[in-house]
Amino acid sequence: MTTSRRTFLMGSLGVAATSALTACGGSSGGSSGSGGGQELTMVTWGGTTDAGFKSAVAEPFTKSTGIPVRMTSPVDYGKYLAQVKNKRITWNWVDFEGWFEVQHKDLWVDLPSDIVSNPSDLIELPGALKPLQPWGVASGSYSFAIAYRTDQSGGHPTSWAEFFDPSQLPGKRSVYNWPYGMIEVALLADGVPYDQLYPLDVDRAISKLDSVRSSLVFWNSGAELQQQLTAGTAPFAFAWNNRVAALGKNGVPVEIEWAENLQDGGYDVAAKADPLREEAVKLIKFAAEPKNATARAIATGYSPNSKTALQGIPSADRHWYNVDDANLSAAVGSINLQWWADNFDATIKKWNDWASG
Amino acid sequence: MSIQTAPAGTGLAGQPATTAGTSQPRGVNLLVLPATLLLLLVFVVPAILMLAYSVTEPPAGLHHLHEALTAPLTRTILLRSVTVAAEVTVLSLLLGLPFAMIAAETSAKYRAVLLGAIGCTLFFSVIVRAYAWLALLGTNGPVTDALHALHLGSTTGYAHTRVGTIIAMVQYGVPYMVLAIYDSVRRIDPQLPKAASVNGASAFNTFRWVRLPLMLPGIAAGSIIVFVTTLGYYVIPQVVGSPTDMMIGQLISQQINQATNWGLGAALATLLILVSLACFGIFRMLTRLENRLS
Repeated sequence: MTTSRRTFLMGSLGVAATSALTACGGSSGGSSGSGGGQELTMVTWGGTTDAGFKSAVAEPFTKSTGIPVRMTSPVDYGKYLAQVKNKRITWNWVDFEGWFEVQHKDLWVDLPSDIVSNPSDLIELPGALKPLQPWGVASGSYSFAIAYRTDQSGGHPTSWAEFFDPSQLPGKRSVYNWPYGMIEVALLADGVPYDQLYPLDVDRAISKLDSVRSSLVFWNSGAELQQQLTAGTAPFAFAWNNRVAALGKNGVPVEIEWAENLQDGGYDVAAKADPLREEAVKLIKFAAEPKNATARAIATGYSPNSKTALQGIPSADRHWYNVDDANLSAAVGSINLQWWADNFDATIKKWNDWASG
Repeated sequence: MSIQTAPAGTGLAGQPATTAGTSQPRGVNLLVLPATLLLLLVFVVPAILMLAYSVTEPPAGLHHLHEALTAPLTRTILLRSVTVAAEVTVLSLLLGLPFAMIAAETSAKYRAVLLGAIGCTLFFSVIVRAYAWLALLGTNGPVTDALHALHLGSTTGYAHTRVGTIIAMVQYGVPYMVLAIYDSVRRIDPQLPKAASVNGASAFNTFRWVRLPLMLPGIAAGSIIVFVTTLGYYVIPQVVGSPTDMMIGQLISQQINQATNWGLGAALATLLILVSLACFGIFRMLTRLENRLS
């Protein structure tokens, strides 16, 4: 199994295991650096993503520059903002989500113009911010899509409207216990076209979800999503494509319905207040080189940021990636990061009131 | 009776037994200094700083505490946490009490087996246990299939339900309950129940009027440990429960780590600590009362 973005902390076995592993791995990694400057800390969402970033980015980077890299997980916005607040940033590269980066745009350094060798090679996600921003360069991307078990009869939903209509296709729906992406697909299911999605009508989305609540089971982390799909708790799921791909490659009878997939991606950024920002920018530049972006995509399951890097992925596996031509053209659009940056807290509150109240 | 409350008092408050151990030579008490200093530096001070966020985070003042106490969601979740903790405590007591009595009064060999089994469960991390329950209680799990075969349950099982969450929590609570009660059962003078029955008391009356009162300190200690730990559970409701089983620990974590709403998170943490301290306070009062009565 690869990747586990947003494996929301201790709830997941993988996170705990990897934290323990990286705690050991970090010290040995530190000593292997050949005096090329201070140690950088890379923060991932944990699980096997951590191992993926280590082997595909951290270790080759150390080999190439001599700058040692320590891995840690999981990403924790509370901890990061505490570092910012106390002016003591020790997390130099973090696998942030895009909305957080847009919400805190003023924290990031302007990247040098040569951060990527060929900006036109970068993949543009439909309806999303441009992949190259003054403060960041597209990191990886993924999609929210319909996942289904292939071993059940009676077909599977081919649109979000069908996904949220258990009267037509009976069976539980496994969904994310978090509004990000869920609000969008609920509105799509309720008949709102993509170009009229934003600003999101959160109340309408929640009442749509509430109307089918008895058919929903919830997952909190990628590990739980995978557990529910594997155990057959639900035949259909609102899923991150990379998590389903990891199951599919391991022989679990699951597939992705790419129709109306909702794309999303983040950026690689470095903080102005980070004493090691120059080394962090070097790491960003290194990771954006197509052959390194390919390795990162293969190791983590996220889509690479450039067309050249995508071509480096074995063609047999490319269909699992959301930026593969067919999947990109099946996409309904992308998450509007600016909307989420502006409305994150209020939306979370409404979601919690509904989901956990 | 003072000997019975001593272990509970020291173990529960989580503090060195400086006040209880009055018979120890003076110098020995100084030995707690390093541990106390360490606790103060790495636990008490950061905890106070954290809790201070509940009044210092903008908007400063009592805003966050007010929200924690009055917002429908936080009230629902606080109430739910207390209710679930109470249910788990009662169930753990019903299961743990007979187990502890049997373990205390059986032969040494069976006692070793019974207590060994209880002790073993403490070796497994809560995460492993939570996922194990998910597999056992979930779709296609053995418990689900067995219940379904007996026409006692649906095919979807108890994973992601309140019942499943409570089962998993009770399994966590029973060992603490058993160990606390076992300790007090072992302290009962075997002549007392014997004297009662010789004098014509029925088995029930011997239990009700002789054994039970003597086990009360253990029952109280076990109940308070189970109640307070359950109150703060994070992993079990997160893994085994559904969103409507969310407890206060999850809400705090979510507010701090994901919503980065430190003020509300800290206010909720403050309330959790206050509720826990209040439980200890009630427990202390009850044991003092009990001491005075006996």
